[in-house]
Formats: sequence, structure tokens, C-alpha cells
Amino acid sequence: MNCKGWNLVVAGFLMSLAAVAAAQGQKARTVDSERIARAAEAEPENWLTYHGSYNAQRHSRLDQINAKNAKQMEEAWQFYLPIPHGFEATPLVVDGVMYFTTGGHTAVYALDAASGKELWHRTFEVAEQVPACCDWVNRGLALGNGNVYFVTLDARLIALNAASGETLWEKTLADWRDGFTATVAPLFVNGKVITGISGGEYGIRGFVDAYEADTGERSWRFWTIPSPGEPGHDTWKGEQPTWMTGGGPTWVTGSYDPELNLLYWTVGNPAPDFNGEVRPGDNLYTDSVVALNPETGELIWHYQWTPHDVWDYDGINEVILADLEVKGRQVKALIHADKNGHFYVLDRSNGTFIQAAPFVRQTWAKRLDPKTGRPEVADVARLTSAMEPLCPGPAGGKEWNHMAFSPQTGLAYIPVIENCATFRMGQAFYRKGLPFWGSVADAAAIGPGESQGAMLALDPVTLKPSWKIDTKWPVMSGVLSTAGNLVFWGEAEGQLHATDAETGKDVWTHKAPMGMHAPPMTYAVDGQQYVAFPVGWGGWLNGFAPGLRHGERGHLLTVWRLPKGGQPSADGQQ
Amino acid sequence: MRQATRHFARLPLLALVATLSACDYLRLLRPSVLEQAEPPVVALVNKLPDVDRPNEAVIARIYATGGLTHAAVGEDGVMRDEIWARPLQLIWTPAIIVMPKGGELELTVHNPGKSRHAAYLPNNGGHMLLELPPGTSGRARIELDEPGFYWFGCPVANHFGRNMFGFILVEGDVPMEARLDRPPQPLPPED
Repeated sequence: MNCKGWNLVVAGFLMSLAAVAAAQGQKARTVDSERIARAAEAEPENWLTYHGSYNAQRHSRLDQINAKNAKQMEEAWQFYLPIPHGFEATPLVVDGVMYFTTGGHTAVYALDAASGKELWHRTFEVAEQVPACCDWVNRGLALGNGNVYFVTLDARLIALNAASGETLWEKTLADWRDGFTATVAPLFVNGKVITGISGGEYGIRGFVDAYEADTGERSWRFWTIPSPGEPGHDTWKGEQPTWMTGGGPTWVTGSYDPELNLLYWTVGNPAPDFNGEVRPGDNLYTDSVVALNPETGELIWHYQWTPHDVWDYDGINEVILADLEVKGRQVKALIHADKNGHFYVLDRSNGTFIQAAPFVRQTWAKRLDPKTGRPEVADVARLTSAMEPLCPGPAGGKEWNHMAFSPQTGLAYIPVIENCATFRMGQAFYRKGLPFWGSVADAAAIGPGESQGAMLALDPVTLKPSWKIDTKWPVMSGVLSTAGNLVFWGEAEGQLHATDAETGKDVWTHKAPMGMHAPPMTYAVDGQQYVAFPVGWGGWLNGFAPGLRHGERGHLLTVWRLPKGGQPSADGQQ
Repeated sequence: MRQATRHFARLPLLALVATLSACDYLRLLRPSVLEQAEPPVVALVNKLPDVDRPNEAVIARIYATGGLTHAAVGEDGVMRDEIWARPLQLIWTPAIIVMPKGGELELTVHNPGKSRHAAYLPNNGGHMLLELPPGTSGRARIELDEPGFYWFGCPVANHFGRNMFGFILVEGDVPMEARLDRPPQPLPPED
């Protein structure tokens, strides 16, 4: 029998198999820095990094769902987990696969982005006594080199194979028994995984870390509190070694400008939060943004929003990179809505202050210096053991939940908290791993009914509001802007919105079963656009809405799209 | 005669024992109670404030019913230990498993009784469920990397809610590179 014919057939079959494999390999091509940098332009169907793009605008070019047709949206699928902690993560999507992390014991889920079917999940056990000031939460992950990277609440950084969920490497960032925890979504930049740390309420010494994506070897560490001999150390005066316990956490994902090759990371409050007597000075680099060289961690410039903070104003909120024309001049700008109630515009190439203005009611600062932006603190804001309510409260004019910026409308969409709080200064005494607030238990109490909110569209050039929707409770969700001229967001009691980005008119609303704290995101699979709302109440409720302390908990991903062909199908499935 | 004298000498002692046995507190001196006070348990109780203050009372209650065991480190680096589901008592004995360091624990669980049980175990990478039909034993290998304590329990019916739970205490330290300079720990200042 002549087998040559069969050999040819087998060879042909194998070759076709190889071709299919190659095509699939191309589809699942590796996510790297270059791809992330161009993703917003080149592949809006994917959401490859925490903020959607390195510039953190949270704006998508997808426009299938737009202000005209959004009212026809129907739910494509939902995915529910009975986790009784805040749901704060932004899901990522690459080539039809969605990844997200959970609160509670940190877990990572991989789902089919079109159907919501689970592909795999991993849970990482966290010891019961891990100290977290503001709920057991996690904000998401980074994609790169075929892996997913995330932190666990007990301060570990873990790399998993994105296809199988298998552990590649694991690093302990710091000892949680010393008050260090981790909740931030890492950022993948030039083959490195950049991450921050939490624990500003426990007297940590904050840092930003970079790890080699393939091996987990640490490349550099930038300490947010300078040690003796380093520039900025002289802003930490006092008898105790205050710099060792100075706080300065870094729990919000930074932004990156590939052209300037600068990494922008925000730094949180100094510790103890409410007692500044033990740490005289400006307390650098707390309540600041630092611009770092992503290869070395070297500090290029810094800008401090609130020098010598005693109100827990953090400064941790995201910084959005946008090119604007301000005062007749083209500026590579960095825009930021701070907890201290002011909206800032800086020159991101050198950190120069350009302009700022309050975006909520504020009483703590008499004014900002028009040249430097440095606040002149009002007499009523000096902390004593008994004082009048001050605005904003410690959760701020805006919490960490992210705003969005639309290059189309030129507006920033800010989730606003309107509140005032009664601050109380108290004794500051550091004990490893215990709360280090420098205050009494109700450090900054908001009375019932004293906390409202709004969705505010603000022009960063004129610093004037374009439109505003007032809400009963603070707006605690993040914001998504799309080229469909829409702004997506959610309320504290679960009302989801799609709002016309220009006029501020709601074009679609839906009542979800729980409040929303996470940012919505959008993606597309096979030409169909989806909007995902991660719904689930939790977080630092005492800080922004004590009245909703007992709100329904859980993790619900509810994902919406237009009906195919404009007709809703009977079962919501295709 | 000598015999009788000895008996008489014992009388006051017997009387004393009879009196004392009526006293509730001294009944606690019976061997089954005394064995709870074995030195390792006492040592761990002393450590409790460092372990976890909010759960202190719950943990102390578990000692009293279950006791504790120290996992042995094998030559392969894997820690090994075994526990029992005590028949008709809805408790684990021992209820506290001490791992001297983070890593892998191979746990053998016995269910000698006539009830169905299961062990829901903490584990990096996802919880592990060990089914334990009546009269069987099972073995699970779990991984816990960080120091701290982790709950486990029986999820059958409401066994967990009826006290059939315990915890795994992982001792040890984080890697050298993750240890940071922390200031000295002075005593609190007087008010």
C-alpha cells in the first residue's frame, strides 16, 4: 500500500491546524506598552488598562450606543457574586475576554465578555485580621505579556497566566501586620508592573514600586516620604521619627505620558491624619502628584495640592492627561479634582501650576495663590478638639471614584460629594498596625442628611460648570465618557444613568439593586458595543454617606447593549 | 488496728473532698478540663492580643472545646497535621491548627461518626471542600502564604453555625525584602 498520499493529507491537515493556531495566536496577541498606548485610538473595542488608556481620560471612541438610541438598551447578561464588601473594580477586556477582581478575599475572574460565562477564577485567601480602614476592596488589574497582575488585600503582588489563571509569580510588598494593605490596580508600563500601597490611616511609609513583569524582580521603589538626607525631608519636623510613620499611601492607579516618558502617581494623606502638631512642615510628598521616570523611579517633579494636610484631604484622586488651550496657550495639561474641593490644571511637562478653582462649597481655604496654587488656610480650619463644621468633609468634594474627560466636548465629568464635617483633633500615638489618626473615634462626623451630591460637567479651560445634575446622596461611582456623546454613571442607591454629554439630559436610566461605587466601562465584541456597570455598595461609608451604611451589599456586573437590528430579543440573549 | 487508724486519718480528707465536690469551681479540676490547660494552649492564649483582639473571645471559646495542634514540617517542606470531627459533638478536635510558617499544609481529616460532614478550607487559589461521608477520612493539601489566621468549618446543614469551626494560625514572618523599618514601640504616654 502506498502511503505517500496519506502522508500528504496528514501534512496538509497539520499545516491547516498550525495556520488556525497562528491566527488564534495573532488574535490573542500580547498586550504590551505600545499596544496600550495606542489602544484608545486603534482598538476601542478593548479596555486594556485600568483607566482605559494611559492618559486616564476614561473616554471611549465607541459610538454604537449614542444619545439617540441609548434608551433602547437592554441587559445582555449579568454576573453576581454574594461578596458582602464594596465592589470597586474596573473590569478589563481584551479580545473578547473580561477580567475583574473582587472585594473580600481577593479573587480574579475571567469571563467571556459577550456572554458573561465564567472561564476561570482564582481566590486568594486573606488573613482575618488584616487591617483595612475602608472595607475589604480591590480596584482591578493590569494586563501585559500574556499575564494579569493584581494586588491582594494583604499586600501581595501576583502575576497569573491570563489564559489559564495559573500563578506565575508572587511578591509580598510589605507586612500587613505593620498596617500595609493593597487595593490598587497596577499599571503595566514598558515591561514593568507599577503598583502602589494602602494604609494611610495606620502610619505606614508609602511607596510606589516597579516589578519586572516576567520575573517579579523589583526594579525600583520610590518612597513617598523622604528619609533623612533626601530632598524634602526637611518638611517633616517634630520630635519623633515622623517620616517613618508619615503615611503617603499610593492606592490610586497613576497615568503615563509615553511622549514625555513620565509616570504620574498621586500620593494620599499624611499620618496621623488629623493631628498636625506632631509633624510640623509641609509633609512632602503627601497630598501631591509626583512625576517619575518609569525606568528608574527617579522623581522628576512634584506638585502638592494641600501642604500640611490635617483634614484627610488625600490628594489621591486620579490625574487626567489632556492637551488644552488655556489662556491662549497650548498646554500639555494634567487635570485633577481634589478631595480638598478644588479643580486643578497643571503643566504636566514640568509641574507648573496653571489654574484652579473650587468645584464644591469649601470653607477651609481663604484662597489659592494665583501664581502657585498654594492654599491660604482659613482661621476656622485650624484643628482643635472642638470646632465648627468645615467644608468639604474628609471624603472631600470628590472621592477616589474616577471622573472622565471627553476630548469631544472638552468637559470633565466629576462625581461630586457636597458635605461638611465636624473635625476633632486628638492624641497621636503610633502603635504598629493600629489606626494612627490623631483623633477621636468620630474624627470627622457628618450629620444625617448633610451629605448630597451631583454629577458635574466642568470646563477645565474656563473652570466653569457646563451642566449639573443634583443627587440625593453623594455620587460615588466612577464615570465613563463615550464618543456616542454619552456619560455613564451610577448613584449611591443604584440608579444607573446614561446622560447626554453636552446637555446633561438623562437619555436612559435603570434601577440596579445596589448602590454603585465602581466606574463603568465599555467594550465591543464582534461589532457589538457593551457597557458594563460593576454594582455593589461598600467602601468608606462613614466618610461619605453614613446614612447608607446598611445599604445592600454584593458584586453585580450588569452589562448592557443595543438590541441587534434595533429589535429587543425576547430573552435578552442572541 | 493500724489499718483502722489509717482509715480514720483519711476521714477528714474524704470529708473535704466531699464538701469541695459540691463546689462548682473545683469541679473544673477534673482531668478533661485540666487537659485544656496544657502549656501550648496557655502559651497561645497569652499571644492572643497579638493575634486578633476583635475575635479574641471566639478564639478562646474554641480552645475550650477543641484544643490545638502544631503542624509538623516534613522533609519536603510540606507541613502535615490531622484533625477529627468528634461524633455527635459538632466540634473539630483539635480546632486550632498552628502552621509554623507560610506554605503548604497537608491536612488529614477524620469523620469517625455517623453524621455527614465536610471541611471547607481556606486556600490560596480558591477554597477547598473536603467531603467527609460517615466513617471516612480525607486529605487536602492547602496553601496559605501569609502570616495570620484563617477560618475553616463544616458547611453541612448549619454545622458551622452550631460551632463546628476552627482556625488555622500561620506563624512566621514576611520575606526579608518586605520587612520595613518601623519605629520603636514605646509604651503609651500617660494622660
